[in-house]
This record gives sequence, C-alpha cells and structure tokens, in this order.
Amino acid sequence: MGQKINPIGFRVGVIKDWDAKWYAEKDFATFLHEDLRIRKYINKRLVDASVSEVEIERAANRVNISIHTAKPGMVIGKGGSEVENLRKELNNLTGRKVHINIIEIKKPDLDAKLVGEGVARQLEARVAFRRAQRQAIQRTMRAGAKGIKIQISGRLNGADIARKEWHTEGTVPLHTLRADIDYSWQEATTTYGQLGVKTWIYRGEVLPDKPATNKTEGGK
Amino acid sequence: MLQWTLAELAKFQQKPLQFNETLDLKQALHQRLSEISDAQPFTVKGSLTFDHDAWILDMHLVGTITVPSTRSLAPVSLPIDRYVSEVYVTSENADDENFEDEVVIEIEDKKIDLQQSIEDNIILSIPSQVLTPEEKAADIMPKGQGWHVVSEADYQTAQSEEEGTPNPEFEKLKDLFSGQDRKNTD
Repeated sequence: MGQKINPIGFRVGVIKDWDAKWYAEKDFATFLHEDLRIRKYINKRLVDASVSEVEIERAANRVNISIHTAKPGMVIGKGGSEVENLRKELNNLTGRKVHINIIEIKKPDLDAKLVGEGVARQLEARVAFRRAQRQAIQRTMRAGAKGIKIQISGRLNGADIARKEWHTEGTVPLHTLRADIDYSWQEATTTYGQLGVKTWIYRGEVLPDKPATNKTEGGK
Repeated sequence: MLQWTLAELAKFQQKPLQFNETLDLKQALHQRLSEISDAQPFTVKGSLTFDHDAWILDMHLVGTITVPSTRSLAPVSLPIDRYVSEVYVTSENADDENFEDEVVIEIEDKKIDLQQSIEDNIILSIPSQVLTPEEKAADIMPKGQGWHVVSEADYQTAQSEEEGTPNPEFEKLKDLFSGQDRKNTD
C-alpha cells in the first residue's frame, strides 16, 4: 500500500501558509497550548457554523483570531449576541484581549472541509450516499475546481460489511507541490455507526512568480 | 404514494410509468433537516422507464422552501426547480457498466420509493450560501464591539497591505544571527 502524506502538511511552507502567525522566544509552549485550547473551543462551540479555518495572530497582550466561515450568521447569532459571548469566553480562556475577525468565505464549494462537512451532514440527514457524493462533486466542479475526489467509508447504506466508495472528477495531482490541493477528513454519525468522508479538491496551480500564499479566490 | 413494488412495476416494462403529484413535505423535510423551517407543496412530474434490467427515473421537482440566510439567519424563501435523473437497479446489476455516469441506487426490499428520492434531492438543492435579496444587492457586513465581519476579498487586501509592514516580534529576528555571521567571518 502506498504511504500517503497529508496534502496540506506536504505543502506548508511551499504554497500554503501557517494558521498561527506569531513568534515567541520564552513563552512558546504557553502560546502553543493556548492556541490549541482556542482552536478546540472554537471548533466545539461553532460546530454547525461551517468554520473552515481559524487563524491566530499575536501582538503584545492581544490575540487576533480570524474565523473563516461560510455561515457568518451562525457565528454572530441574533444581533451579534453569540460572537460577543464567544469573545468574552475567549478573553477568560486566554486572559488576554481577544479581537475576532469573521471572514465570509466567498466560494464554500471550493473548500474541502466545508464540502466534506456538507456531505457528512447530509449523510446524517439520511440522504443516500451516492446522491450526496455526486451533488458535492458537481457543485465543486461548477464552482471552478480543476478536480475533486470524495471517498466515503463505513457501513454504506447500512450494509453489514464496511467498505469504501470513491468518486473522482478532473485531476488531483497529489505529487505536484505547486498544485493547490485542499484536503479534509470528516465523520458522519449515523444510526449504523460512523462514516468517514475524505475530500480532496484541486483548485489550480500556484505559480512561482506569485507570492507564496494559500489564498486563492474563493478557497481558503 | 409514489412507491411501487417490482411486481407492480412489471406491467410497465413495455411503456413508461408516468406520474404527476403534488406533495406536502413540510413536516418530513423539517424532521430530516431542522434548518428547513417551511415548505410549500411540491409538484412532482416524471416517469419510470425500464431499460437494461434497470428502472430509469426522470423527474421534475418544483416548489419553495424557507431556510435561514447564512449571513444573518433571516428567513429566505428558496425556490427549487430541479430535474432528477437516477437509475434503480437490483443488487445483482449494481455494477452494470451501462450506468457508470449515472446516480445508481440499489433497490431495497423489492420496491422503489420516490418519496425518499424527492426529499433527498430537495435537501441537496439547498446551496452552500443563502442570502436575502437585500444582502445580495448591498454587500453590508455586520460589526460590533471587538468583532467584525469582512468579505474574503477585503481580508486579502488588508493582509497584503500588512505584509509591507513587518510584525515587531518578527523584526527582532533580524539580529538573531548577526553575531554568528561575524564569528564565521572571523
């Protein structure tokens, strides 16, 4: 069996940027653990808010958190009540002044985490896995992706024996470092147990004369 | 309604089975996906044709559902007009190469249930971004104390402007190897 590296980790420092943007000499471990706590808290609290990425920047005693989401309404809540509470809770969690930026993702269909999460939620709503898989592929290709692969594994349609089925369209050149490939692994909790949803989306090449960044239009 | 056993369908092997129904799916849809707060009755029109030991479904769904805006949670009326093409096969014909490019659904309990297909396709029709007509027309982003919403384009512009001015913490790194360089040249 081929050994497969995570496509995002493979590209960090080449065409993808880090999610944490700070430097520390003495307090590195403290800040790192604080980052982990912040991410865990946000992911747990905003589980239904289609959060794709959480960027953390630090300056003096201030933490800037950028939440990339397809559903800013779910993050803000009615009249901004939810985000005010979230900010207060993060202030307490870190003991620092927290500022929250909410970034609305323009094309959620080009984001592997959001596509995978969407399929997982549809599987939980008892949508047939082939319908969900096909619809997600069509939407992503229509949004301008160069290729997509979705793999669903587990007890498909409640079968006794677990198996995996994948469907692919276009190309997904995993070995090409300049290929901007987004990847995610999500889980759907169904009455028959957990189903795994792996998604790879190829959004085109990042050319060497452009600044090294993972911010293509509409994607992450 | 819209559910047939294979025995019932046997008489339609020579000519397609036509159907034209109006369905009230409000409760069923809300039960499956709580964000669907309302649904007007759906018109379902189509046919089931027997070909290559499979039943081919061609269906047209028209109706309206209400879902929350992804930006502000305000209710948005979402018209749905969707053509559906699916192939129903028995487990013995599940790997038939004739239908590689189609959505192939295995027939369970020797019956075809279109209600399930209709509900699935309505749920799948909900786009990943839903906005009210006002939100679409004017790109107004909400903001408050200590937080604000920005579009991806504005965020990228701000980031590229910031790139010109180095972070003061990273600026300290400039002198990190200066002593070492001197040592090496000595």
